[in-house]
Amino acid sequence: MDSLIKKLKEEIIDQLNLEGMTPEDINEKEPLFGEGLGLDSIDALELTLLLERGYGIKLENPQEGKKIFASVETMAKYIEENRK
Amino acid sequence: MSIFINAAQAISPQQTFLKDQLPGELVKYDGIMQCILPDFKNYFSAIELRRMSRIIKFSSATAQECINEAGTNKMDAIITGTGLGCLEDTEKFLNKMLDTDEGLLTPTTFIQSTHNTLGGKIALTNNCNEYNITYAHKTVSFESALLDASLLIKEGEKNILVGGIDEITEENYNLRKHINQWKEEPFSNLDIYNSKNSGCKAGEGAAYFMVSSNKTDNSYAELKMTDIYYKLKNPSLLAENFKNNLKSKTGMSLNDIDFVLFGFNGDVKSDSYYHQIKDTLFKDQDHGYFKHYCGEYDTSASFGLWVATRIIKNNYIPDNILIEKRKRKNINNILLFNQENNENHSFIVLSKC
Amino acid sequence: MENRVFVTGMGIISAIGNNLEENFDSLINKQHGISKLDILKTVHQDELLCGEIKLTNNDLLKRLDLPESNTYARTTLLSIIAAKEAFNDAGLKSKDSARTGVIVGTTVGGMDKSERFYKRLDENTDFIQSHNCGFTTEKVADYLDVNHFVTSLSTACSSGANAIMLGARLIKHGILDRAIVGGTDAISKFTLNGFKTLFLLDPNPCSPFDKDRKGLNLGEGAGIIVLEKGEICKNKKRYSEITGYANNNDAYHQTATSPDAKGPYLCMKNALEKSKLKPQDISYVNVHGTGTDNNDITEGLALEKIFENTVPPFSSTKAYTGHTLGAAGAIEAIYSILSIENNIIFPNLNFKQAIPELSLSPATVVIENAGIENVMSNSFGFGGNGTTLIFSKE
Repeated sequence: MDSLIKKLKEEIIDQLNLEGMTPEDINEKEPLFGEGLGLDSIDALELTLLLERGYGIKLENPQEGKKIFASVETMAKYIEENRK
Repeated sequence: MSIFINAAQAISPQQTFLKDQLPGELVKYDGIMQCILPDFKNYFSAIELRRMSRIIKFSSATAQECINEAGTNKMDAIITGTGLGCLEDTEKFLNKMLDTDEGLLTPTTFIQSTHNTLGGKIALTNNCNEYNITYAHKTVSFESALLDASLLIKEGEKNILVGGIDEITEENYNLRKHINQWKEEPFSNLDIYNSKNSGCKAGEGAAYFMVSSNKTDNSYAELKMTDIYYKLKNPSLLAENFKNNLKSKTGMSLNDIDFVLFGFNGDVKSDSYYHQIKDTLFKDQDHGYFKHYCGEYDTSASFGLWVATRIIKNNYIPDNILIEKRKRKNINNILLFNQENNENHSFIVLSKC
Repeated sequence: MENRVFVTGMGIISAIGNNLEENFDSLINKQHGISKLDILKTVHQDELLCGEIKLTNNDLLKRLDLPESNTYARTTLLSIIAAKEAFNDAGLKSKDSARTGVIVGTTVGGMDKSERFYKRLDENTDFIQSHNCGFTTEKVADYLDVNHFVTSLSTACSSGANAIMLGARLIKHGILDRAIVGGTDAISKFTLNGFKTLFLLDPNPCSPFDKDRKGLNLGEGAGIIVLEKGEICKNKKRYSEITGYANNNDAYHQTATSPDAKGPYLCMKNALEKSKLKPQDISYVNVHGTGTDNNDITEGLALEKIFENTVPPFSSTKAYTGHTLGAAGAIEAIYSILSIENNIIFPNLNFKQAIPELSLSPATVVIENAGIENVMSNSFGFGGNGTTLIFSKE
């Protein structure tokens, strides 16, 4: 799980083009959206693609993303449970 | 109704950003001319920067400094001109789509590929809910924006941010080599006026202006006229139209113009039309050119206007702009004349204020 | 005293008809144009529905008597078809003394051609020139032999409406006597895949303002209208007068409208102010109504706010044509003018249940003798761009 969290942080930084940020700058328990990292709905779509391309998990409804992408931790948990 | 230019900032391939004077020494480019960029971290946070392509960054930074210079971000309109818009994002999405045969694509580059991303971003940053339009018509994209701003001032608006922005990418540069648009490398930007062959230098830039109904102590100039003509191919017909409009719109005659800033770009055929006008209509004026500063791009006239604001305010024309020796003592009225292969002619007249 | 500006000619091509008459017939017969793609080749051929015009580029060239080998993109061809019809409809001849301008809005210009030849430079380099937005407008001007004033704008999905607004303003300021204005866009793989990445495409025929709406269908087309100042069109047919217009920016997000719909509200309010009309003077609103979750609820909220809960009959015609992007504002302006001309309200297809957060439902049947005096047409786009136009019966 820990290695997945670290990998996810790196992938998020890369996918969202968070120049100058390191995995240490992201707290896996803090919200990715709103007050935490400050991501928005477009980022959610980018993360949806990350799930599909990196882990073979396809979200049919973008609304599902809201819960899954709450934090890096929830994302990792979802991947563990649904990975193919 | 008078219209003033109260702020003017430009990022270009030369040292022009936040400068009051035109540079004495020019940077030489043998190939593509790309902008000298400031450190964008001084303007935007990492989270803001995550989605900003190069053009969005240099457009937004220029706009912010123009707004700072004007001392107000209460704008009644934001009007931009851009020939090709957000080229890098467009290319990214297009390439990915073609390379993956319409496979898994991400939305960011798509949503930012629209031409009005640039003006929209400034509205977002400054919380500006007012009129926000983007013109995209080849070499008169910026002039269309400036003309619209003049209409808005006449309609009673007070402060309007107007910009001209285009970027050049390696990919687009290489693409346009196929239609022989550029000079064969190496060819120095400093040699364009004396060029004897076809093609021009690829450039890019952002220039923003605060156009206002009120004169301030810092006003650069009064904007007297912005005119565009699509295809008046006969030079004497073009001259006739310009003379008549100058008279009816500004009350000026040709002799009132002291300095003409031409858009010579090094393409010998396109430049021949400037020579015709220069040697007939404006025999008695001082002549200059500016595209050795910025290269050629759809909105290069916006950079020409930035050059004109420095010349008129300082009442000084550097040698690197002048085509031949000065004939006139003072610069009270400047004409900026741009065109491309005898189409899309634009005439912008500035007066000292 | 400002010049008054009248609509004296209209031309249109869309998925529901290749001219004005066919479009009108489809509208009143509830014939939509949403189908699988036949002309555009894409890997999404079988999964996506669009408002595609069932004419190949060669068919379009033939209709214009242009040689087969020419370099025009589909976006360009569509706009020339519409411009030719509008020009003839207004009874214009080339080279009269009126100062005439051509202004066309488009989102991605000649992208339909660029995306075919981008990686195949050896086959075709024409797209390098036809890609930019200005190319299309110049070809329209050349076809009609207008050489005075030509410009283009690109403000995403409000482009067509903004071209109309600029034309009206240039006439009001006395810079032009006549303006040939509108919008155009062909369906391209670029826009199709773009909207797909945003999860904004409904796999079924779209259902604007419906509780269960799932998104939009992409469409294509062109709408061009001829605007003339009062003095030069005294003795000819005048469809309507353009009385109000406004553009505002939502300044909230690149693609989504703010929860309080500030931008859409402001442009409706400012257009009303410009026209000196009161909200209750509006007889019909042709809404933007794309069928996306975000657009319809925010546009609905803005309607409730501006009309203070007595919203006039309204409908989205996008279930007929699909969302034609840069053309939408112009195509829907034409439908708005047809509404005035025929005293009729066009239905909003596929609507079943109202959006729970809103207390409004669109017109779902053709309403004849609707007492139409003033019609409002909304267009919103990426970058927070929003434009409202108001057309009035003379």
